[in-house]
Amino acid sequence: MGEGQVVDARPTRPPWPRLIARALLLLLLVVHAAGWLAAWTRNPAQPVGPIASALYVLGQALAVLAPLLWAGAVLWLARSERARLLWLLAGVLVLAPIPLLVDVA
Amino acid sequence: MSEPVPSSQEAPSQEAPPAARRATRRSATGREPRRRELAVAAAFALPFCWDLVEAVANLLALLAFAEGAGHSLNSYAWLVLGSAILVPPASYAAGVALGFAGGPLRLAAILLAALAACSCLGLTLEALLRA
Repeated sequence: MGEGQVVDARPTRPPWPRLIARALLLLLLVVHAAGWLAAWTRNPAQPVGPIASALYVLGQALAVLAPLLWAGAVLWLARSERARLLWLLAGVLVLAPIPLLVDVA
Repeated sequence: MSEPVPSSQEAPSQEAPPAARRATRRSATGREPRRRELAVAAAFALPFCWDLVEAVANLLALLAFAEGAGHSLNSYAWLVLGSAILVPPASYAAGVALGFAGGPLRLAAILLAALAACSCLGLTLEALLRA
């Protein structure tokens, strides 16, 4: 390396299309969380007994939090930008609030 | 004078990759880190087991209901209820497989996300059965 060259020590940022894709997928996961919240309010199921009811409510709360937990886990644990995008896409597909769509249909 | 040859017993240098440092630390300290991961996996097994029990109970209740009505369950119901039984163990196994090597904190994060996803899928299958 020549003496006149300067080494850029800043961490490399992913290219713009990937950043936009990541932002879109994160936005979709936030929309999914809102969808699960709406599905919770419309859910007609009423389990019998206090323990079953409490656990059912806990499950519904977890379903609302699931897209956010998924996004957090992916952003924290994925090692490459490509893996991050793929896992976010998987989350968008797996965690879609289908009960809301079924109720509307 | 010849250079000293580093032995495999030496402590890992800071320049070594994190995975190598973890592996050496594990071998140096015995089974302690793995025990923590097993404890995390065991703690998360309980809610996954509850989801599994709930799915089996749903299947048995619907079977009894159908038998009482003089019918049998159709293939759609079998598909949905069978999927509801498969989802909790599959989610747990995937979470453990993905997170066990990364340490207890990462394993807990992955299993929490897997448990939440399992709840989503359970509610989805329940809605499909209701529809």
